[in-house]
Amino acid sequence: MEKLRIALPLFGLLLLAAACNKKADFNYYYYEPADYALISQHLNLPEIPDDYRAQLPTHIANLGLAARPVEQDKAILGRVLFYDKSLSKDGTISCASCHKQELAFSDNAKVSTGVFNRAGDRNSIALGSVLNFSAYYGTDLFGPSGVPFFWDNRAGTATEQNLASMTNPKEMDMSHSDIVSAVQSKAYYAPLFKMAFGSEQINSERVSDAIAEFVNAIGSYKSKFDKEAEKAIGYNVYSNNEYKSFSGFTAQENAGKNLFLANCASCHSPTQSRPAKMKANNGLDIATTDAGVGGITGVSADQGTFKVPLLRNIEITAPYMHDGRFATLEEVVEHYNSGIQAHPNLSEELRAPGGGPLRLNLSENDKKALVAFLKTLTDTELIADTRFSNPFK
Amino acid sequence: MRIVTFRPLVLAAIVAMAAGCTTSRFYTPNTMQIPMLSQAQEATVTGGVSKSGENSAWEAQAIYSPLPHLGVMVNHFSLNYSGTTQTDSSPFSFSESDYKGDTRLTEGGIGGYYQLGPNKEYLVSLFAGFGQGRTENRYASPPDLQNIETYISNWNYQRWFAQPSLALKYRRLQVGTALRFVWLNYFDGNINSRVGLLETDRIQLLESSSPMFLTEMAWSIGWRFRPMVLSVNSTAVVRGKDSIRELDLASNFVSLSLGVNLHEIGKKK
Repeated sequence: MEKLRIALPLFGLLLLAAACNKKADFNYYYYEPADYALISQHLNLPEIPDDYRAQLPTHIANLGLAARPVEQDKAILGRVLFYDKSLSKDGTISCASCHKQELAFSDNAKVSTGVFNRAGDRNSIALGSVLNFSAYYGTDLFGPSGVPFFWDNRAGTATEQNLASMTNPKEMDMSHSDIVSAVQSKAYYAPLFKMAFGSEQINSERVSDAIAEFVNAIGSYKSKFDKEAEKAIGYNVYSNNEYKSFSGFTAQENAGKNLFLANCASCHSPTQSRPAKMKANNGLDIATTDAGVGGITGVSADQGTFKVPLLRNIEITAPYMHDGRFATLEEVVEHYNSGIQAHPNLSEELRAPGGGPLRLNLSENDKKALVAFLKTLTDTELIADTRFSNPFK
Repeated sequence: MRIVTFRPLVLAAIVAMAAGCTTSRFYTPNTMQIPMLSQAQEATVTGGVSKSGENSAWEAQAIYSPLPHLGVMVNHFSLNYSGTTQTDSSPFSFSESDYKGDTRLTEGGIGGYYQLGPNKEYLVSLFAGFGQGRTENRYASPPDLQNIETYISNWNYQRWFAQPSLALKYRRLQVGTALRFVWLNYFDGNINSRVGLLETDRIQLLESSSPMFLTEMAWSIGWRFRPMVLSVNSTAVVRGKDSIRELDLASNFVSLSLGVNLHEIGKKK
């Protein structure tokens, strides 16, 4: 009994200690406190960064594509630089000025306006329409670098592309030293560069590299089309079952999908996953007014040809074509239905059997169905994704 | 004392430690102290070591019987380790990070023991206790960043345990086995998540899985040369294998220890 008198209270104390346990509560931090205090004065960067890793849907992964690796710190720095207007000669233009998130990273002007209100040459390409930014094609059609950039395909990588835009007199009009000076003038960039590159050294290559990492992290693959393709077991263009109706589509959307597959997919990709053609002339004009790819290569067969973009988020990326000539999707559909011009380099896919411009002769219902399908390619999650939003306060 | 008589035991210990010891930067079971008490006022203090690759540990343990059939124990465990782990991944690349770390655990327990058998050579006991520990991992930044920074993560944990055991004493030899039911709670931590998304995912899983229950099993073989005992000890997690895999916990720990029975020193005098 003597033993019990001692032992039992002690066991009781142990049980009490067990009952008073604390719930696990870890403190995660990413930035050094002094760095984060400095950064937070100017930027709305979360204390624990967003995860920029992409999870491609199965219907895209099944095509052999995979999410590209993203260097977190570079993407974070790139996000800030992407929205920084001080990277332009007059301090009014950032990358985001012509690539607005709410417009799937496109612009609603025919041609974008650069520094000092200078008009650009072409319509801003929607970054949210280019799945390859977040996906690797491996050694596919256009090689490991993926698809070239700009309407005339003159840049091989996102790094080349963004540096060209920053130094273009009609866009941001910066020299390499201007870029470095602009970034160096802001103290909060020092810790961000150190985290991204291991040192605070700033040069235009690093600036460009970081912006490219951010742009490469942007991916659009959560549209209604993607969700339905994911639900449709075995949806695969290579098994010829892509004409199978999607259960979540309306009859009109399914009809539009079939029209798209029959008439448009050979250039614009049936799965909106990889471009089917690198360049084409789509018969906008009978004679070349903008040389496009031909202006870069000098090859006569390239005159008047342009990049063939994917159509992701096409609903919100008006106006359309390289010169923004069409204000609505209906106008675009009507062009392909009845307006194709006999340009000498007109794409084979747009030629009738006799070699002249193709006429689709779609009914009004067909045209409406096609537009209804194109609207299923809108990714509302992308345009609301805070990982890609303006971080400046 | 003839050294030659326990040489096989020393060799066995070295082989066992080299072959079987695993450590983890999240949790490694310490050597279970299997009571060998036989009467009131008996006390034993034990020092132990373990060495396996880049990992090394030392332990101090004590047990005392203030009253017949009642015992109290104290254990301290200190482990230093290093290694390399995958800290980030993608389908095309992954980055590894070197890490160094240490963990400390101090715990106390109380329980009862009872001798059985014609010569009271069997000893059954049941102890329960509580301890608190701290672990710190220091990760080197990925080499591709050419960075010399170190990312430090540390956390504190509590451990409650209940430990039934069975021991057998011969003249020269003592063996023991025990189960330890462990309730492990990582209650706070300070985590530098720059270490990499994959490693941060693991630490978050550790946090969300707390508290967790583990069942551990131990055996000990000791050579008695009064008043000392030289033992080889092994403690392994036998239930909670999913936790071991998912949370990257160590599965077993082997040590070599030398104990002194203070009561027998008194007797010799």
